[in-house]
Amino acid sequence: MKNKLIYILLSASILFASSVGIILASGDDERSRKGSWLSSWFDDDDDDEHGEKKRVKNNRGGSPVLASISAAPPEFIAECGSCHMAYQPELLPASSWGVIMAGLDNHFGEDATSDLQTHQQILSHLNRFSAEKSTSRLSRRTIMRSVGNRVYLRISDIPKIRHEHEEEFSKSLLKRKSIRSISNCEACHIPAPQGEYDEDYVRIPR
Amino acid sequence: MRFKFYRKARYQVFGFILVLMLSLSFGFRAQGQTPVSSAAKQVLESYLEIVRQEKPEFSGFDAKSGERFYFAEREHSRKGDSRSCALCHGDDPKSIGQHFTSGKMIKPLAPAANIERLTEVKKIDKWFRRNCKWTLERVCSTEEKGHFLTFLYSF
Repeated sequence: MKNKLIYILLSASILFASSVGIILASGDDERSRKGSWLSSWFDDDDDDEHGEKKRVKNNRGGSPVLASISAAPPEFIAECGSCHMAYQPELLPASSWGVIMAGLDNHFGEDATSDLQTHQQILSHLNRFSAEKSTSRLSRRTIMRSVGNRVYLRISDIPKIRHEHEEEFSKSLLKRKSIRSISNCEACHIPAPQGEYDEDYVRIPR
Repeated sequence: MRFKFYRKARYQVFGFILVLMLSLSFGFRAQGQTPVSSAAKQVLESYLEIVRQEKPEFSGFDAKSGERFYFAEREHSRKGDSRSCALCHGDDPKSIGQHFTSGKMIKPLAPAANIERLTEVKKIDKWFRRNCKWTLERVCSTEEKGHFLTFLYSF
């Protein structure tokens, strides 16, 4: 008799506990907590979060902005940036920069020589941040993989970069006065002077 | 009360300076010229001295000759294209220009439109050296440079 009573009490308490558990589990608090926990793994409904995830994936292996920007000496901006955009050192390997800097007396048809001190400062900046030293995706995947053993003197001659812009050039966009030249990055890549070349920031002018 | 008085007095001084500066700037505007920077003044004086050594009768630089020089087109010996100062700096030195090969925008050349222009001797020398070589395939004469600077200050 006594045993029977204990069994009944036990089963009743188990029933009670489980029902309380079920009620709690189906409660609003519980579901929302579970929801947020799940969403970080599976949920793709949230547009913002999805977009962010995609961006992180695209930029794997480096910041979208070329890192040398914050370290560029004023001489670099003044000397390299008055006739054309001051192309970031990350856009060519050191071998290319060396050849370019050695031939500044005829720099694509212009005399771009400067005094020795300025020259040295610019050269050391270029060497410090050249493409093979960069961790950016643009330098590693696009530029370094495409360059191989060749020494390019124009960024636009790098096969991968040429290929990526093929469609635009076939439309004779270069004839537009607002663009004019293949070397005018910032005409379409608005934040190019700040080292940002992501497709998302491209706006082709009239 | 005392504090208030000082503040008022300070405003009066500020006001006086403001009026003075305004009247000065209007005075310059009435002449139709931008004040010549100390760097440009220094350069122009040294140019005049050099030219007078060769031509003692030289009367001075004039904007009209500078303008002719600015627009004069010269054919490049190898490239065969026609080049002038105006090709990149534009027909109006007060407006934005565009680099012929790179397409980059160039800030106005006339100090009237761009206060930073012609304020550094080193920069004036540097750009005469570079751009005379590209445009004329030679160095510019001192006389040409003097007329050119005078033309830029005529706006």
